[in-house]
Amino acid sequence: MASNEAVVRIRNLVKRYGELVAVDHLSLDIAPGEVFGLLGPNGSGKTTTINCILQLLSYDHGEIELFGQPMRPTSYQLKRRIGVVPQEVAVFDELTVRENVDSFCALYVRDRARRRELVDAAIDFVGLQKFEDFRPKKLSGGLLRRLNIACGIAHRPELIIMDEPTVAVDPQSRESILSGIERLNAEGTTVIYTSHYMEEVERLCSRIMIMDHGRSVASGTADELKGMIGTGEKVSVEVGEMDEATLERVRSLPHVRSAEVDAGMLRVQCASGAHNLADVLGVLAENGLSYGRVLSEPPTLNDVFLEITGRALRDEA
Amino acid sequence: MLASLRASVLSLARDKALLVWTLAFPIIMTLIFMGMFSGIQDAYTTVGSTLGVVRDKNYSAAMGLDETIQAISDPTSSDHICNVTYYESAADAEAAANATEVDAYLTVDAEGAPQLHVTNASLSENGTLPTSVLAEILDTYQHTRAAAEKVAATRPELLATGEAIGAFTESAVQTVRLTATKNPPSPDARYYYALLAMAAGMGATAAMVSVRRLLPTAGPLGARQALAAVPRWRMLVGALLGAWLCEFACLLVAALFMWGVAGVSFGNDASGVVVALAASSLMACAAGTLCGTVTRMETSMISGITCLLSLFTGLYGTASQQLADTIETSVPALAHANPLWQTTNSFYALLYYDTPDAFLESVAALLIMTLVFLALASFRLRRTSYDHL
Ligand SMILES: Nc1ncnc2c1ncn2[C@@H]1O[C@H](COP(=O)(O)OP(=O)(O)OP(=O)(O)O)[C@@H](O)[C@H]1O
Ligand SMILES: [Mg+2]
Repeated sequence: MASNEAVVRIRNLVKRYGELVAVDHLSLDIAPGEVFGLLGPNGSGKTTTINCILQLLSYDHGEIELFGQPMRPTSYQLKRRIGVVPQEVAVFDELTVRENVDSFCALYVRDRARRRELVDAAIDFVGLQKFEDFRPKKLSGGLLRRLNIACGIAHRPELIIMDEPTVAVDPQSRESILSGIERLNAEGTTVIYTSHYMEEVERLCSRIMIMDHGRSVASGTADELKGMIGTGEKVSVEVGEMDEATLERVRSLPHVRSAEVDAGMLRVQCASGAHNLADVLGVLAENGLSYGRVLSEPPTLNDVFLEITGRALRDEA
Repeated sequence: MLASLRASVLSLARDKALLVWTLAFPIIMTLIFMGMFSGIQDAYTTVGSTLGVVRDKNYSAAMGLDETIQAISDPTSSDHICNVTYYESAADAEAAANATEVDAYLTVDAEGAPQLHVTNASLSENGTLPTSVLAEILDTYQHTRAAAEKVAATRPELLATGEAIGAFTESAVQTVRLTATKNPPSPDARYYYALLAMAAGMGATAAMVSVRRLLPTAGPLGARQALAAVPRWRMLVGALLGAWLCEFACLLVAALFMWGVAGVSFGNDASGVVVALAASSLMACAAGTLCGTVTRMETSMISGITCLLSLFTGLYGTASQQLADTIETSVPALAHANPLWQTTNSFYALLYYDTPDAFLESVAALLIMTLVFLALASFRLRRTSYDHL
């Protein structure tokens, strides 16, 4: 594979469900070795996009190329290079953990001895060694999710597509899954990752695309995205008591969007500006207020997400 | 293909519902039937049936009749049908019949025509004499005699040797054996065969479950397997073969149980039984595959259809057997279109017929049904090809 060739290339993808346009003229390129984050509110079309890439859905318009070749339902050579961890857990209820991983691996790898190694590695990867002989029914929700992951990655694909793989997983397992993904990525695997956990995405993803209503509304690295929005840092100052006049003065600072006092803490939300913290502290000093701890948080991906996709609840889907 | 075959075998072997229907169900029903039929079997073996024969001068004059009677009453012969007690007069025989010493008695009238008398007493006590078979024998005897008389009228020298008479009676018995039964008639075999057919029909659920799991339309597991680096038809064939193996194995065990524990006769051709089981389970799996392509189809519907079709194989007692026989004689095409009837019939043919024609016909019918089901299934699969989530 030429290293500069896009692993995934989508041009003008359109997918309609009747009247509803689930994916609306979406284009994207994913380079080899990237961890590409796909973000978006519920119903924004992430899963639909993935299913189109995988040819599980036919689409109305657009081109999809994987590894430089057009993807078709019968592109078995391409399918061999892809691993998928679907949003819904999909495993055989009657088979044990090990048999499940082996069955899915066998869809790609024929050689038994090779498969045994791969299955061992996948089970290690998700830390299910102790549960090898369990049936899925006996696994807790989090363990089941981990099995779901093992089934998708056992055949060592070059491109892994993960649709919310860490839902319902405890912090320890989540940590091991995330570091596992980092390890796979370090070995050269390209990853498409969707999640509603912003910290995960911020930690893993080299590039992020935010989708809404089937369209790409923003994309770039986490820092680029943060730079795109108007929101700046959040300043918190321990002030004890504070009179209304001083508070008004803080509010009238040029980059301050809102300021309030809550349980002895002054919380100020700033727009992006050069010296917001100094300005706020200046006002306090001028008014003879002494202060304790001072905290300044840069905007998070969560802020970016909310600002770009709006704060209104998404239940129209 | 091997992968999906293995997955299908592994999961079916652990699917309790399937084991219950294709293995436990026939075995349990066999045990129940054994209890129900033990009375019939005892009546057959301990009482034996006895035919009274009035040996007067009409009887002696009836050409070849005595030879025929001796042939069917010889306990060492494979043509043995009943025991015979001789009486001097019709009155003696009637008295014996009323005292239920014999189940029926035979007289010959002045024209030399044999008549079978079945008394109410013997009927109500235990109607164990295979009267229909006897009646057929006598019927054949009459025909033979008519033929012999024609010979006597035209070429009397042939009868003088006595050889001709022997030939006639022999052919009479032979005909009877061919038209009636090869093996001794077994009234309960019919139930067991219908039971096996029903179990085979229930086994269609195995294929339905295995095949459906591969369809993206039917859920996330199907969607996930549609991502395989293997063409879908190969996976479907694997699943179908897996289901077939499982069902075939279950039916084989059930049939062995019937034969070994319940003493059900399957005739003398074991390989034929295996072929019949293989063909009927293959047919059921093909039907299951077709059902699997219909998303709204549920396993309970297969059970329902199987129960309904079993009505026409006579599984549910004498009334359903009469219904089945009526349909078979009046609308044979309808009876033959029932896959479970073909299954039952293939076992029948093995038990009762000397020639393999009827058996081969049934097996061929099952295979043709298999092909039809598979063709329909692949047609449906093609149409619902890829856009299915
Ligand atoms: N089979 C379907 N038929 C009709 N509409 C559908 C179908 N599947 C999805 N949709 C609609 O398409 C839109 C996109 O759905 P999709 O599942 O891609 O969202 P998503 O971004 O993955 O959401 P989530 O974060 O909840 O997983 C939604 O409005 C959904 O209601
Ligand atoms: Mg989704």
